[in-house]
Amino acid sequence: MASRPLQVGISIIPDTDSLERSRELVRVADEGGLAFVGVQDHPYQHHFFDTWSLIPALLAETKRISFFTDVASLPLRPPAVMAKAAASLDVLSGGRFELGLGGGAVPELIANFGGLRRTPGETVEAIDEAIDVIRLLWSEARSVSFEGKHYRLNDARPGPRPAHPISIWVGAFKPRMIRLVGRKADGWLPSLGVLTCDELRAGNEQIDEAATKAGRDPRSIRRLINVQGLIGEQAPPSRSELPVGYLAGEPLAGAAGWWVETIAGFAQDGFDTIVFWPVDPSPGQVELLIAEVVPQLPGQLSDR
Amino acid sequence: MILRAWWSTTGVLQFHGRHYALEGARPGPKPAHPIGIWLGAAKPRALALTGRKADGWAAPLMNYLSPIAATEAHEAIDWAARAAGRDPREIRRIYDAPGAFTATAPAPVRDADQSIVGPPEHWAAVLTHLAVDLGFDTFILLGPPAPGLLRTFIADVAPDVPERVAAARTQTEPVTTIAAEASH
Repeated sequence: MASRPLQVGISIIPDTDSLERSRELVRVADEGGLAFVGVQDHPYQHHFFDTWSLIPALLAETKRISFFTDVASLPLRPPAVMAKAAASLDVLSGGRFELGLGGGAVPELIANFGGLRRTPGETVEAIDEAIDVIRLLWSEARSVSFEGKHYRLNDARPGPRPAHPISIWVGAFKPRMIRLVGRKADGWLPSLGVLTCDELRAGNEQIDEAATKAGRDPRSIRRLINVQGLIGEQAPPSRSELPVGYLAGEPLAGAAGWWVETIAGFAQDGFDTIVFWPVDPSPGQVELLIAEVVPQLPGQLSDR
Repeated sequence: MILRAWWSTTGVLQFHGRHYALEGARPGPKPAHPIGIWLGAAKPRALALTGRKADGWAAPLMNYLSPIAATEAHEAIDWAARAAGRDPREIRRIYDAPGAFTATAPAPVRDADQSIVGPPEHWAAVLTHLAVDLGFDTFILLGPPAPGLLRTFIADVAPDVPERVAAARTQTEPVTTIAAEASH
């Protein structure tokens, strides 16, 4: 199923109170050779940093690891500006940025924040159009125009060009958006807990079908999975004890060997990129991931 | 409005403007220091808004708005500030000056000039004049991105200007006072 080497990353919570810890986590992840750091984008959380401001600060403190938005909130940012920001971060970091993109988690909170309130149908259309707009603005064309229902470009000038082909990974949970991933995204970025293992498997199949129908190779679409948990024998905190920012669903927990098997299971289900959300956001958890889980995983970890 | 409330409030914000609406947003994080909002304003309504509400006026670049033309804009800002019960001196005045360093100043300085060209001494004199007589207090050197130009500016111009301005202000203090009194 998974055709690409298994890669592992972490996701961090951009809480203003844990900036030093976030810095430490990403340094450990970078030095330990992990592939990615994800940063969620919920601007309406008053105790969160702006994700697009935090990522460059963390890029500046790391050398090899790539960062991605996990996932960027489209209704709060015009896609043309997002394309420009992504390309800029990519150039400034020497090709270490990928774009996780989503239609926005909670419509009420987005509206409270002055963002657009969209129906689920409009959200799928908007993501569809945004992918086109963003790719146009990463293109080599001198000038681009686009006429959509939600977005328009009129003789817009692309630039800067990204340092590497930035991938667009869509946070999709429902059938229409999942099919859109198969049709045009570079990757799928769901979360365990929001979807069950059965739904995740089904999602991968829907993406395969939609991709094939659109004449794409399903294996060209990266399959990432956000998983929150704890590495160790101790009992994990329950979901209700976790601060704002963690995923729905109870955290997974087990010793390193258990995680190796669990991740191998995700790989069996078609996932090639595991994004670990440490519910104990201490460097120790990331160190365990690097030292005891990653080396035991099937296939080579990283192409770096 | 939104930015200000954002940075200062801890409660829930509601705002219903013609262009922007917040239906109940919780601001945060709080800035580490009071961030100034400097408006880039050129025309009368924007200048009046600057005087009424902004922390600073980011004037059009010197090559778009000559020093003499800026005088009227300063007055518009001052007038609007006083009308709103503000002290016009609270509003920072920012001017971006393009130019070059040359061995000698090629022409006499005129307030219609669109750039500063001359030796460091000439630059310092022009900036002092812009500060003392034309109301600016913050100068931005407008590239080319040449380290040499920047180093000369930092070493030979920038340190000199505050002293010259202070000296000039001491001399003209009575005039300043009279002007301030006349305005009230």
